[in-house]
Order: sequence, then C-alpha cells, then structure tokens
Amino acid sequence: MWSYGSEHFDKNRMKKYQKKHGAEVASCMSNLKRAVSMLDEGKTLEEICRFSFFGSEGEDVYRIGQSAVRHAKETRLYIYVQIVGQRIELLTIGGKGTQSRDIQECKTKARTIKQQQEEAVQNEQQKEQ
Amino acid sequence: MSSRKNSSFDKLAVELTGDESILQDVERHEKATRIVSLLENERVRQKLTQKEIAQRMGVSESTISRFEDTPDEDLRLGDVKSYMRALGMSMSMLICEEALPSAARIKHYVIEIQRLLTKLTEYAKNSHGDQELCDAISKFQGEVLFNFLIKYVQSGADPSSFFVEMIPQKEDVSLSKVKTRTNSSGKVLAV
Repeated sequence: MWSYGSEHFDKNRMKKYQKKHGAEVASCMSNLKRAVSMLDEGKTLEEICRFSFFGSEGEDVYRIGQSAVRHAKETRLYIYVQIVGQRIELLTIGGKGTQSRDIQECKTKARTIKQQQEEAVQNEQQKEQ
Repeated sequence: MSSRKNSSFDKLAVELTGDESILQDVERHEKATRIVSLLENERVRQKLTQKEIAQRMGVSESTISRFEDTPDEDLRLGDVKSYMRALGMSMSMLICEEALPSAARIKHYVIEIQRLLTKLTEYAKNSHGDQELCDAISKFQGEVLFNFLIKYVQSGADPSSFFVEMIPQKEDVSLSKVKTRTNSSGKVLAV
C-alpha cells in the first residue's frame, strides 16, 4: 500500500486556496485518491499519465489537476512520487499563473527529500559499521 | 462534529486543509463524476489516447478533453453513446428505486441477467435454429442462475425470496418445495 507524507507541504497556502476555490481543491484531492488507488492496484505511473488530470513535470514530480468542475480555475496539486518505498510526498498547490514557479519550487523540494533520504541511508550504514 | 477520518487519505485531506468538510466535498465530487470517471477509466484500460478516441468519433481532441472534464449532470446522452461506441462498448440502463437496499439491487441485476440470457436464447433460436447452440445457451443460463442461488443461500438469505422475484408470474411455485441440500459446512450441494 502507498503512503502519504506532507512534511514539505505549504498548508497555509492550501487553506487560502481552499477558501477561494473549494470545488477545485476537492476535485484535486479526489483525483489524488483516484491515482493512489490505481497505484495500490499495481498500475504504473506511465499508465496513470494517460488520464488527463495526471501529468509528469520531470524529476519524479507529478501534477494532479482538477476535473469536472464548472467554470473551474485551473488548479494543480503537486506531488513527489517515490517508487522505492511507495510513498507520495505532497508538495504544493497552485494555479496556472504560478505554474512555472511552483514547478521549480517542487523540484527543489524533491531534490531536498532525495538528499535527506540518501543521508539517512548513509547514516544507517555507518551505524551498522 | 464527529470525526469521519477512516483512511490515511482522509487523515491527509483533513491535515492539509484543516477542515473536515473536505471529506464530504471529495465524496460529493466522486458521486458527481461517477459516469465520466468510468468512461475515462475504460479509455485508459484500452490504452487509448484522447486523440485516438477523437479520431474514431470524428471530432477534435479538445472535444474529448472537454467531454472528460464534464460533470455527469452536464453530460449529453448522445455524446456518452458516441464515446462508448468509439470504445467498442454498448450501454444498458437499469432503472430501479433509489431507496432500494443493496441486496434488492443485486436481485434486480440478476433478474436483468436472466432477461438477457433469455433474449440470447431466443436470438439463437430465431437466427440460427441451431439446437446445439440453443441448448448450450440454456445450459449456461441455468448455470449462471444456479451459481447465483448458491451464493445467495451461502450468504444466509432465504432462497424463497430469490425465487419469488425470479418467477413472479407463476404463483403456484411454492418455495417451500424448493429444497437445498447442504453439506456439514453449510455448502449448498444441490437444489
């Protein structure tokens, strides 16, 4: 089963966003649930990318968009997918206007998470030695 | 407000938004997009892109994109049928009361399956006249209903309630006469 992490997620931004665009946030969360249940079923990320709400931004960062919301504001929930360990790290939520900045920010967060994990593995190895 | 957080997803959603009502909103969204999600799932299961579906339907890719981005309430029946045709699927509609409990709904489906099997037998008789084929379909029909009855009895339900709905015209069918033989573990061996 896949698990979630939200340590790197900007919750204040989410709360502000939800106040203005509640339907879009609910849709993104619903699509996140849908994507994770597909991962639990054994589907690959490549297969899930065939859904219009799901797309890759590179460096294991993926966007989950809203769908089927009338007069929707284009909304993206960004996640970092760790295949090894089967974990989804929630990164941020944003709109079309902040898209390129959000992606860069998410990639930086993803690199930090990767680095922290590598360091944790090294520490473990050193302890064992 | 009572806590509805059951799964890790529920906990995450509440943690991210700081608002338990997000769970109801997500549930509402799932209900509002059940049909369109089913259709999109089927497209992906068949490994088809929006572009390929668009070509099959003779419309633009953006039309398909818009269609898949439509809440169920706004879908047009004609568009749904065209989309399904492009997927090589057909659609059937089962109308039943909203308040029916799950068991009654399942029974409803079985009756529909029986109707389709009878239709299939008739079709085989009328179009081919091949007795062997008709017999095979009849046998299949019997097997399907028999297997369902076994499951039904195993679930602890009264088999008479199943037969009453399956054969409503024949009032003389006494369900007390329909007996099931079970083994020591309660498994149905014969009817």
